[in-house]
Amino acid sequence: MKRKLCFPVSFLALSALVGCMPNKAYRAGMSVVSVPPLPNLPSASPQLPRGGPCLGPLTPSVDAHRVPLPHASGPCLAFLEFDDLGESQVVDASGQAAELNRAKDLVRAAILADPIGQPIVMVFVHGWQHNSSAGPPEDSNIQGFEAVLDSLYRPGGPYAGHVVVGISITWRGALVSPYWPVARVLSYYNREAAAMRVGNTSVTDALMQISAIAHPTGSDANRTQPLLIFIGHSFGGLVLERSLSQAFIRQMDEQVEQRTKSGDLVTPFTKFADLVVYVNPAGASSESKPTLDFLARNGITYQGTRLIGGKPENYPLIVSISTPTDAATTTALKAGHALSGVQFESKGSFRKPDPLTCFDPVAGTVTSDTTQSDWDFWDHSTPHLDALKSHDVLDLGGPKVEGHPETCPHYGTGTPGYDVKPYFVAGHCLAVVPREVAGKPACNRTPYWVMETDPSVLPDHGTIFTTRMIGFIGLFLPTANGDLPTLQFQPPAVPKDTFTGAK
Amino acid sequence: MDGRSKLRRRSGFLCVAVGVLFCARFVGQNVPLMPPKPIAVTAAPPVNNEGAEPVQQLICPGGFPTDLTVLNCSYTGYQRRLTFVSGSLTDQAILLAATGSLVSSAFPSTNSNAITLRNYGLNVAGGYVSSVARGGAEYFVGSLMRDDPRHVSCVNDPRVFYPLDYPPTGGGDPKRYLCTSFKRFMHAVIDSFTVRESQPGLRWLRNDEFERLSKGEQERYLAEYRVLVPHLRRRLFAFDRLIGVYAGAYAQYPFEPADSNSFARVSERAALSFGTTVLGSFYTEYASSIFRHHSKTPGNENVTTGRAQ
Repeated sequence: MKRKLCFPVSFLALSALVGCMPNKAYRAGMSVVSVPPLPNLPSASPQLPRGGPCLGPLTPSVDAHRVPLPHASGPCLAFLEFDDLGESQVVDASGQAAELNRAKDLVRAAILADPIGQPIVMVFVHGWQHNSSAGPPEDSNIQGFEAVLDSLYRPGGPYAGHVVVGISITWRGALVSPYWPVARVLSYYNREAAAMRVGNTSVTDALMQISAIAHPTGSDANRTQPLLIFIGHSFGGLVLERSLSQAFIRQMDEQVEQRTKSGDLVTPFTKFADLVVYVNPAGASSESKPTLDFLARNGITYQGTRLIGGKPENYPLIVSISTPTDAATTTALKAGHALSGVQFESKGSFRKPDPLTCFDPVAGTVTSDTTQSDWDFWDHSTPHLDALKSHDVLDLGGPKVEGHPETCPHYGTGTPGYDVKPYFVAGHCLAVVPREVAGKPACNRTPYWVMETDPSVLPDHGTIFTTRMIGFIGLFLPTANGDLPTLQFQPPAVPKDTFTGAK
Repeated sequence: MDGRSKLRRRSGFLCVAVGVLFCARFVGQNVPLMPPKPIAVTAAPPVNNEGAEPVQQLICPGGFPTDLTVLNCSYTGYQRRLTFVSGSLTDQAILLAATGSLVSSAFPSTNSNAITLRNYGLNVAGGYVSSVARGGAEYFVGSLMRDDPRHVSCVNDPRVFYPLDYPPTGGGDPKRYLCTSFKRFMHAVIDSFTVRESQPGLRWLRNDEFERLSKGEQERYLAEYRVLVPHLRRRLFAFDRLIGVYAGAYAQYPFEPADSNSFARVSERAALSFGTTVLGSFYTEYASSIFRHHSKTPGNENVTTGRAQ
């Protein structure tokens, strides 16, 4: 009997061992690298030698005169690696997060090297099934992020003429080797729990330190500060949202308190980033609801100087985007959360209704939507819950003349305070329009915009590193209009009546 | 121990040996304590944007336009290895062998083993060994012949929309490029029995990209790749699939009753196994129609949206 059992037991034990991905720092020796350019010719190798521009000595002349470095040839990418419990993977002898220090140096150097001190600093958090592996092959999300940085930097790119740096926040999103596909799928719950652990103090500290360099307190009237963008994908969206929410709310609360005491309603708040984007976020919408409620309760606005229908234009500070064709955050999330949802429900943890605070900055009203329960928030990701949507992305059809966006159908100019943002991809004239329900503004009119975009922009869960997506995210940057919006608040209002627009 | 048992045992050890050879080695937890590097960090300066043109992005058959992660359309060695190991060697193969045997136990034929727990175990082992043999044969033959086994749908097949004659001489009859219902059905059938060619590291140049190359680069490109569009070439018969299904069917030899190992019965098993390839091809062809998403338009949207007042 023992001999009979020996083979299957050994096989299973071997399977368990070889399928596991290590919990280690992949970039410990080289946490800041130069991004290789995309190959243009068939003979060019996609894996060009790294190093050089991002690791050269910081000479006094660079500091003093902001002269271009002679050997530099592309954007730089820094890695911040976190372990399964959310702590920095690489610490020096004095306990400092070594990779974070290098990343901060990179941001400082980027500010100095940019001609007008306005580099783009893009922070990306990957999701499930990814890590910072250098390969070969290098992790596909790292390759994609590098390609995005390169496309922003290269001549003709949307941010050409500026210094471009990326910071990749990596964690052990891949628990199981890709050679074990079934075990990989079964690691869903394990990695969701890991994402919740990682989205905690150490990542918050890292993000806030980077933000403090790029956007020091009181700098928001400065038109030429770095463009700081945080992007989280899938479980990376969950990591980012959990890391940012509490620090953001604390920062806002402090500023609201100061302004209320001093009676100063004019000086803008310091914002921690120019834009936070959650792409196909794989967390429940109960993660974002407290932030949405906070923004609505406190009347936080992010408005520019441009007038739309006689009202200052509203911009987003946070955008949550997904697509109806993303099976991971629709079907899979519902299936994954069903069991825990039943447990919560049976123990009476879910409230029904769970009121959602609604805010309309144009009318200055605060109301409450009582149509949603905690179950609704638990089994939907934020962009897929109708009650939270602030915008719709409409397909107006193709242009009259193929390839000429100027011949696209015209949708309109928006509602007071909100512009219609046209966007063109081959064969599709799209429009991002503020959502209305039963003729009234949607509940969510906060600077946290939520929408489902069209599959012609975002086809599925994983195809996110595309020129179409870069252009779409660019729509939400105030720099696209040359505007300089300010983060402020309207004095808090008590809910006046019940929101009746939602289904 | 009889001869068939020995053969079974050897098949099992062979599978484990193949698995051990292919699987990545396990690396234990490693949290380094790194001293900070004394080199300061600098950033690259901006590039000159004058006279610049946006870079044209490559679109591979079936790929999403403007995907920046696509550097070439070849079926790389890593992809081939991943397909073999994850599909034929590890947990997916084990799961399919277990569930497949369960299903076949529910519909026993006259030639199959009697339904007992021992025979179920034999069927699982036979299914698994067959999977390893089929995957292994497809891996080795596919590598030798540099095949790209990925299916493409009619609308994404470069052979349908790309002009076969270069430079194009016939001009354009648009009907030539349309995928009608009949064309789609036939495409799915043909895509099962034929296979595209691929060479790792090759990059498929589009016409406009080719035009931008200098004369010398064009000549080198033609000389090196023999044809303008390597991924256009299609092998008229997918030998790797044929050899694969027969290898899988013959690998079940020690696990089947003696009268199930005639050439005719093995061919039946091979044909049944080939059915999965045909299903895969039809799924690729029709999935976009089955799961078609209708975009939100002003007409079909059930909420009103912000127009100018």
